[in-house]
Amino acid sequence: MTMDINIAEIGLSALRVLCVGLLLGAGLPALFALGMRLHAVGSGVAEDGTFSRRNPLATIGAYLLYSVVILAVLAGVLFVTRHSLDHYFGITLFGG
Amino acid sequence: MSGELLILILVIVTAIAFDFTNGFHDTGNAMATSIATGALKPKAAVTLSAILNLVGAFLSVEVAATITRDVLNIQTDTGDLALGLDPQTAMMIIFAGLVGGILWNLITWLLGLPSSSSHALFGGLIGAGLAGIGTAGVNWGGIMAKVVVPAFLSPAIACAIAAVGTWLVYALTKRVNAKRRETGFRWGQIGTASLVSLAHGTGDAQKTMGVIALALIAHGSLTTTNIEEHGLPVWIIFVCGLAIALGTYLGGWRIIRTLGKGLVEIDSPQGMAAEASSAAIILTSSTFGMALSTTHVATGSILGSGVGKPGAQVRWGVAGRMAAAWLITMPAAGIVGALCFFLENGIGGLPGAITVFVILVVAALYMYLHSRRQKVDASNVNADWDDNVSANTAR
Repeated sequence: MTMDINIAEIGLSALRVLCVGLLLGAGLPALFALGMRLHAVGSGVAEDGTFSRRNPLATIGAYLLYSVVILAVLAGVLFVTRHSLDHYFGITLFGG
Repeated sequence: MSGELLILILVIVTAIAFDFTNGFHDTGNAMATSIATGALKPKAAVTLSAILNLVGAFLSVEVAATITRDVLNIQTDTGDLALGLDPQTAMMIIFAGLVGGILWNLITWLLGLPSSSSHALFGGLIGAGLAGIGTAGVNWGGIMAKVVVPAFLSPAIACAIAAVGTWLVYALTKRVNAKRRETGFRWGQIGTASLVSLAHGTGDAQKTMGVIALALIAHGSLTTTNIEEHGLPVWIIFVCGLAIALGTYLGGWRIIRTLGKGLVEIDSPQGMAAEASSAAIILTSSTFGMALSTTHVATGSILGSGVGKPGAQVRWGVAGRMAAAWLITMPAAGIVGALCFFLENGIGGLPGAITVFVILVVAALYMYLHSRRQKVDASNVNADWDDNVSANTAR
């Protein structure tokens, strides 16, 4: 019976989870929010609901940001299913 | 039919029952925020989550039959029974451990507390292992590194990420029309909650599959080489997937209510930030060698969404009750597991196993009937939260 607990290793993996989590778990909602902000600017609807001038460039930017978020979610789905894809279709993703 | 085969069948039935409680105990982890903000109707939310859990479970192709290795020393590296361990003792340990896990899951459900199903299972197994083999049967280092330490770290990490996410989301959309913002984030919520459900199906259903595989290995009707060559028997994947999906569909409304209404009053931007944080952590943590509980992550994230929203109120009293439940989950399930093992062993063989099984059924029935007195279901899951604790399950 050995107590082989490596504190440094646990700390390091926790730090990794925190960093990647911040990037994806906080970063993607932030991108989505930014997209929504641009979307609102693009449509010309202000905070109080009044209408000003449309801005097509902002709308395009908004859809670009939404696509980034959707692609990231799709990547997440592929990541969860990576072993099954490999098993059934022989498609190796994310380094197997 | 031999006694050993009957015991094996009891173990498998109990494992499936555990999988079922695992499903309804964890529905809230993915769906509580979407139900609370109205992004999804309660029934629609549990249906979506159930389907995704089913899909997730069917996606499990590389199931580790070494499930107990993190906490017990009853298996070798390959998943076979440890040398010198009597097969019947091994099955009794697994059985008693499962009973401990189920009973603790039901008690916490009755109290509306989102505790970790994996901790309940591990606690039950540890208790039964201690009772059956003694301290040498327990992998203390594994328990610390794989179960205890992550349990303290993961809610804190999730809370921090969700708080940052929530703060950013509110800062960026401050000048967006409120109605528009609410609608937009509801879509975001549904997407992120779905991802959490899918990940839950792949992760948690596999735990029960591993337990059933182990019981079959102990009985001698399945070998580890067979699993390696052909994968797990399809019926195990099928049954476990169905059990967890059915549990999810029935919905642990009491727990959904605590998570969605009890901790924080959630708006859809917070809901999306919380689920995005949960999804990101659950999906990436195993890659970084951290095994953690979906429940701990989801609860931490929801708390964080309250911390990160300017002016939001967090009910720390409710959070404290949850933390207390988390702390006693493993010891409590362990004590039940140990008692069940002693009882089984005392009576011996098949009669012992049947006695424990009957106790499990009676206790489960009692708790179910008790829950009917203060019913929480799809119709009142979103009722206003009253700080008078007993009133929250009374509506």
